[in-house]
Amino acid sequence: MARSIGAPAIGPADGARPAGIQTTLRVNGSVRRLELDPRATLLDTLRERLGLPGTKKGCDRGECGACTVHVNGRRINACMTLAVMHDGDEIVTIEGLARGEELHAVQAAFIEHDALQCGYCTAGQIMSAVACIGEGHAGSADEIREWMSGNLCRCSCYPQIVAAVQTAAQERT
Amino acid sequence: MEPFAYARATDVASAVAVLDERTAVVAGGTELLNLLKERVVTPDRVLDINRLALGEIAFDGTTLRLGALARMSDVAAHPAVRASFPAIAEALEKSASPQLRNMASMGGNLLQRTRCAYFRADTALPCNKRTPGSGCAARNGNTRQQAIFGWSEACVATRRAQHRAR
Ligand SMILES: Cc1cc2nc3c(=O)[nH]c(=O)nc-3n(C[C@H](O)[C@H](O)[C@H](O)COP(=O)(O)OP(=O)(O)OC[C@H]3O[C@@H](n4cnc5c(N)ncnc54)[C@H](O)[C@@H]3O)c2cc1C
Ligand code: SF4
Ligand code: FES
Ligand code: FES
Repeated sequence: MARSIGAPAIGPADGARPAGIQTTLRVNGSVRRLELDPRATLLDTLRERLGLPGTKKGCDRGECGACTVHVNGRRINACMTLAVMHDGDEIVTIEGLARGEELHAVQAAFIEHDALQCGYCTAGQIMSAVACIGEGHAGSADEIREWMSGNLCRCSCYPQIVAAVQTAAQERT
Repeated sequence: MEPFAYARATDVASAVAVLDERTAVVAGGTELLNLLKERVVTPDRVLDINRLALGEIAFDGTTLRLGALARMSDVAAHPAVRASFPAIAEALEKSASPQLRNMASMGGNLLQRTRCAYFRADTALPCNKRTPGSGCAARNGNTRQQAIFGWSEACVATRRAQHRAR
């Protein structure tokens, strides 16, 4: 539990190293209790503490989208938020998308359309695409391009990515 | 990032009461985390305000009220904003990215620091805004994203008010 505001004082002002913060994250359906350095980003916590390296770190400053995960049903950049801010939150990463051996429709569409080369951006692209379709922002190729613009692909697989998202969106309806 | 203590605010009055020069508020974190990572700000305490009920988006036919914690995506998607303030909705949807807009709050958006590349650089280049008296690397350097009006010899970035927790 984080200390709440009000009396007593919220932390040492004398430069002493602050203690770890007890935090409960619900990741891909399982409850994970951790003692966290308040500086740990959600991205580093998923990768380094929870053994979930599927979520990637491209820029670590909100620009590339490689770290996209879902928090309480919304897509966010895991590099731009502290893990301690997510006590009790429901988090879904790329590892939580497939049902056993059965791929999510967006994962299958990425394979079908060959929507990757090196694959570094792919987990973020897919998490973003699942949300993009869920939000109702995948009605046309133009709309997909606009609403997938937070995910960069250095290999420039954009035409294939748009086609994959379009296919997955059509399958849903 | 330098070490800091973390606390979660439970109500507005006690949050305001503990704010001081060494405490940084965090809302979406999309600005603060970059400043923390580059040590542009080194607060002793970070106060998480995300569980406060400040996410209001309300239109009474005359006045639009946006809470400090209303997210850019929610403001842009709000039916009253789209119908009566389409320029706001459009401007928000042209900003940042869908992921960032799901995080970024209106309060945090107004409190962004300058986008001057030297101010945000990971190496300590001369920057009066970051280290008063150190000079201004942008004056004769890379002036992309700098101000056309309102600049001075001391700082050619957009002039803006300083805020807490440096
Ligand atoms: C890749 C990228 C692209 C971007 N593109 C754009 C763009 O095109 N247009 C644009 O406008 N912006 C853009 N931004 C900036 C983005 O909009 C801001 O980072 C965001 O709005 C800040 O909101 P936040 O809630 O995340 O703020 P935080 O990072 O949580 O806080 C920002 C600052 O405000 C203070 N603060 C926040 N809320 C309060 C409060 N309620 N009371 C007191 N202090 C508070 C914090 O202490 C901090 O100093 C971009 C950012 C990134 C990373
Ligand atoms: S214009 Fe100069 S002083 Fe102002 S923020 Fe940039 S480098 Fe710093
Ligand atoms: S690693 Fe988070 S946006 Fe690039
Ligand atoms: S497949 Fe290489 S960055 Fe997108």
